[in-house]
Amino acid sequence: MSAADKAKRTVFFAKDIHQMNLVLGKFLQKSRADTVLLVDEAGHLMARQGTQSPASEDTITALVAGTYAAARAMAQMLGTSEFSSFIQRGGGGNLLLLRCGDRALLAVAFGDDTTVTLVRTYALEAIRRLIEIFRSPAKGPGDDEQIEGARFEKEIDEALTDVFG
Amino acid sequence: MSTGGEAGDVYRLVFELTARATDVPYESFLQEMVAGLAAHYHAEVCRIHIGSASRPSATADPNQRLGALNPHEQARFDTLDAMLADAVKSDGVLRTALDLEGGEEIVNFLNVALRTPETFSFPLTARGKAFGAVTLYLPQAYPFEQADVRGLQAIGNVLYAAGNHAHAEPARGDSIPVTSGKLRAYQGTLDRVGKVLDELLFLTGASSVMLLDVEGDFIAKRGEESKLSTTSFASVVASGFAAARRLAGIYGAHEARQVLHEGERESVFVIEVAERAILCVVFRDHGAPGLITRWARSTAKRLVEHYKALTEARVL
Repeated sequence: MSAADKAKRTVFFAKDIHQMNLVLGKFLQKSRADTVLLVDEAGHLMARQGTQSPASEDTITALVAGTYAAARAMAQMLGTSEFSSFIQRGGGGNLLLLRCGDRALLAVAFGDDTTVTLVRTYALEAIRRLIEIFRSPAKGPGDDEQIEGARFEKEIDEALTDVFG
Repeated sequence: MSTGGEAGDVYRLVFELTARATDVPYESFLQEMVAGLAAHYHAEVCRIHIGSASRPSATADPNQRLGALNPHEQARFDTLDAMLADAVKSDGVLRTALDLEGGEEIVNFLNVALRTPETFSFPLTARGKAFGAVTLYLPQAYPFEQADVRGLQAIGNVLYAAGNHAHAEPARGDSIPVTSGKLRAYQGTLDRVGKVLDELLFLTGASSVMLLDVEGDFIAKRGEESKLSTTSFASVVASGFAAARRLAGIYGAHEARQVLHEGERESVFVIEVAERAILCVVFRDHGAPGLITRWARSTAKRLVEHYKALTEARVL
């Protein structure tokens, strides 16, 4: 790992992960998606919510990161900015991958109970909240400055209700 | 055949006709196209004019209106039809009979002779230039919408691609010398694949379209030449698609797989063909990306048979 990469690294504490899971849980509830994963660019799982898949987490996160890396290389070759999202569709399942800030990816698996537009709309709102968490992570395990879980959940709920009704 | 009056139906018409484009001779395809347009717009007469020829390339006269004209009327109709088509071909601007010199007299003549007071001539354009025209003689006004204009534009693209292919002279020395039946079959199939890709390219206005092996080897490519290394691009597309396919498989996707990468300026649509190949469409800002994915899906289906033939005839 280069010095620049090391400098870019951020340590997340349990409180941050808890908040990320709250955002993801709320997103699942609203969007009616099946599973959502938050994966860093190197393929490490940061948070997940939803149904368990038969494949191992390592396999899934590596595939998510690999897919995104290929898409980014493709975008660079075409001389365009990074692809904002990509969707894999097939009978019985869909997958939406979105960039989440400059260090993570959001992978959402969803079925026919919902639509890609709905999932994308709620995902963008969830990403906004996740980026806020990335920008101000907890300073340590006992950081009292961070918002308490219950309060945070209420705040997210209100924000989503404000936006989407 | 779809009926007129519904915006967007013209796309279905183009779909229906294009699906058979590679399976019929060019002249038959033109005839099917003009008959389809006449039925779609309830036209008494419809003609397609291509190139600088004064005579129409194809005519549909479903109710035998032209057949009932006397020779003098027939000649007069041919003249004004050619005038209308020439005017449209010259600048690519849609016209009605009223836009011609002596427009009112022409409209009266058409009304009496053919019972078609409404006349429209649309340009057929490709690569920004008008290369032909469609003339429609209608018994009543038709509420043309943006969808019709775009559909006719798509028809122009299809005809341009089909015409170029039909009249293309094989360049000497460009092809691999064909020495065996197997090689001939391979080259023939490759030509057909190229034609299908040409149609997709012109139809969608995409920057480029390519057919790749799942391992990232090129099979065929059409579209803009760019500075990027096409071999590297193919490898990246294939590897990204393989990862996305595996990922989707884990989450229950089990049918035709496709991935749409949406960028700010450019987007890439990738779809599986016969489980062993990938069709990749690179396109810029497009008002209807859904239309591109629909065309690409239709093309992928058409390519399945060709790809199977290619693998059977593989000689390299």
